Amino acid sequence: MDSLNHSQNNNSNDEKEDQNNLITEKPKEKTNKENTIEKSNNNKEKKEKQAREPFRKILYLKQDYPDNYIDDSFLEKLILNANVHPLKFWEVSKSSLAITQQVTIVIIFCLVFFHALTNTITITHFFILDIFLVLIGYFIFLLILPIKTISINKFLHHLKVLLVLLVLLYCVSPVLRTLTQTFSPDTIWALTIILFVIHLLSQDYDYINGLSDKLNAPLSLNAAIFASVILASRLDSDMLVFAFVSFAIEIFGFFPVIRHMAYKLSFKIHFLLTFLMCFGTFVSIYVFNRFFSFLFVGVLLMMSVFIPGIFTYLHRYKITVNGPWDEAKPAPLYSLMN
Amino acid sequence: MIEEKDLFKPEEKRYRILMASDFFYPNVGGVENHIFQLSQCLIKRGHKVVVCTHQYKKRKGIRYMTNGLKVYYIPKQPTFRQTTLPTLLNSLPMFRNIMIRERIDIVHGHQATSCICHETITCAREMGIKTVFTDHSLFSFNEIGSFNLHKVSNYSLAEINHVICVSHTGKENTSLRAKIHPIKVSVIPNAIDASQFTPDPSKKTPGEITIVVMSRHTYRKGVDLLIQLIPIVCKKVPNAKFVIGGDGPNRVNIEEMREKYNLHDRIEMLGFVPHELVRNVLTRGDIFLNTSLTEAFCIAIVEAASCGLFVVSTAVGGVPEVLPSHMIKFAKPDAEQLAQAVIDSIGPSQEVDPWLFHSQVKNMYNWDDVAERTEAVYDKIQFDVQQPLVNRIHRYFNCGTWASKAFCFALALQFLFMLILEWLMPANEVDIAPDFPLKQFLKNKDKLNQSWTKSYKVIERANEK
Repeated sequence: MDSLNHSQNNNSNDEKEDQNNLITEKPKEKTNKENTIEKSNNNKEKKEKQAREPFRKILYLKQDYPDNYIDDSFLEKLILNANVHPLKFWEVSKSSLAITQQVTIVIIFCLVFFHALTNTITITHFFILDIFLVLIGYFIFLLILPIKTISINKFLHHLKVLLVLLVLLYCVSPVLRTLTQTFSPDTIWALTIILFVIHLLSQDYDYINGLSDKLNAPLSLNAAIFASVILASRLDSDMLVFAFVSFAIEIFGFFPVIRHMAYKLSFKIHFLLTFLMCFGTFVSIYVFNRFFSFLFVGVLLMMSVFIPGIFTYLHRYKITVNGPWDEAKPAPLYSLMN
Repeated sequence: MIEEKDLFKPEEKRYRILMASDFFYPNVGGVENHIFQLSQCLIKRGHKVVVCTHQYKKRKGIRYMTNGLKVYYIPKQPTFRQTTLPTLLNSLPMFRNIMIRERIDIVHGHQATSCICHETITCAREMGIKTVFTDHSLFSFNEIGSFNLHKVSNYSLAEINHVICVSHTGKENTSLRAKIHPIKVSVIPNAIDASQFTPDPSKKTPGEITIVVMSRHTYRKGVDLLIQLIPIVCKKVPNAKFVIGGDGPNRVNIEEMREKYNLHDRIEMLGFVPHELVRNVLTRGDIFLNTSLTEAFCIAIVEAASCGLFVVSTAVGGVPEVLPSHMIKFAKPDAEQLAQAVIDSIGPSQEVDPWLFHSQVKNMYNWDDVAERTEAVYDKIQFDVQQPLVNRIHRYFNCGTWASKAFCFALALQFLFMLILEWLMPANEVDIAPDFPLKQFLKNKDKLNQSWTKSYKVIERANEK
């Protein structure tokens, strides 16, 4: 330990040296004897330093230094935390809202399923819900879009897509209803849970938080739609299945787009939306089961306060080490090939 | 050739050294060559050297190579990239047996990715044998694979007596990732057998600028850079020709580029070139091009400079330390800058005196010098004292928050296992292998050669019949 400090004290950039010390934690078990030998060696070296040629980091010349000589330039090209910026709790908490939204959506979806299963929602209610969501969603979509880009052709195109989707879904809904008839309910619940976990883990939260402009989460969407299809297969009538799956497409397929646009528009809207979703979920769970509703509040607090707190706290221990030993990253091949 | 008078080391300063690595002949590569050449030079200096490596297909058991270099091909199957599976206890009995049989004084492990290297070092540590480790590569800190490797190195190198690195950059890297005090790390470069790499200016094609590339065609060796660079150079220099040797997964991409830019007459692809024929390819060239993205010590550029070629290289890792500025031109790892460097070095490459380059390189790097410096390391560590178990556990306990507990557990396990082994197979009951009688061998070498050639002829005749 001593010898290293010795050689490093000469160096002017003290801050860096301290960090170096942190990284190269030296084994302290050197016997005193060894230490004194090294010290005296170092002193000798210092005296000779004036007379000798300065040390150079080269291999082709035999230099007048021992092979294990530690020069002042040792580790001077080391770069610590080149791309690490200290995180702020509020920023982490802010970006965790996207995850909160996604979790509430999954919970709402499951609640709606249980209501459909126990026939507390009738088909009529379901269709009203679907149409209401589509209209409201499209209305917000139009509101947020820049006015210049709106045209009648675009509207017709959207309408066409919607109709094709609905007709297709209507045609396959009898098949979907009988899809898992031979399966035990346990399999279905287990599969659904696994699929929703996959959905939550692989969702493109960057997109919802406005960091990227293209939704890139095919696995997430597939998992959610698959889960909704196998849940739908437990329902009684074809029409209910049709309504239920279209509901799933609305909230898993289209809703992220709206949320992305809302975030881009202003954070206040995003926050308000999250709050409304959380509140709505809380009320619907409260009606269902009082205990679960408080559990839900606990989960929310954990996601937006507790975990971001831990994350920011632990982030200060992050050290990235870069240096001349890193693999160089040349420009990707296609940039010149094309 | 070794003469008897070369064996000048006094008896008490001769060591029995075990070189341990997954990488050895018949596999070909830089580490393999390093171990072989270093062993030969150490034998020449009077030491006994034993190599321990895993089996290569049917090659298992004990073999003798040049000058009585004994090689143990131990029965462990290689799995991924010629490395064996890491075990904590399984291989210890075998290594312990080898070390007792050969009366080993020093265990010298090579290459951080080799499991045999780490296992022998931990085994030697339990037996109180001095350990040295040579690191041949650089590892970055931002890959998931390296994390595990760093932890393994951390464990096996915690009590190492000395570490040798091939470049100053390597020293920084190793002391950081294995958490070793830099005073315990020596820099001893690689070397080449300069007599194998002599220039031959008559092989050059007059009126053409031949640029030689010799590397495995993998991403890490900078194939992408090469593919981008060749069309630029070919466009700007009409008489430039590329000779590309080597094989690898990315070879197809180079061929694709050759098709696309219609450069069949400008690029010659040689495929895999055996090491002994590399010189014949190098002597054809004016410029040697190295596009590696990371490199601890680039032996290829030293070989090229020894053959009298001007070198153009990416300035990565330890490469800037290897050659003096009048032999090499550096560029950033970027295709256009590298292409410009190649074009700029056409002038200097025509003024190179190949034999001057050769004699300079010969003085810079030779194996005898490497062996001498390695021997100095061996001499130095003889004074290290084996610590009692309590101190050792304390040392491992400082290795990290979570890893340290696992390390202590592993250490205790290995310690107990060695006690059980000592009880089952006491060290004094293990047969001692006789040392190779090098003196007598050298004295009677001619006679032996004659009798061997005779017996070969008998075998050949038998085969003919």
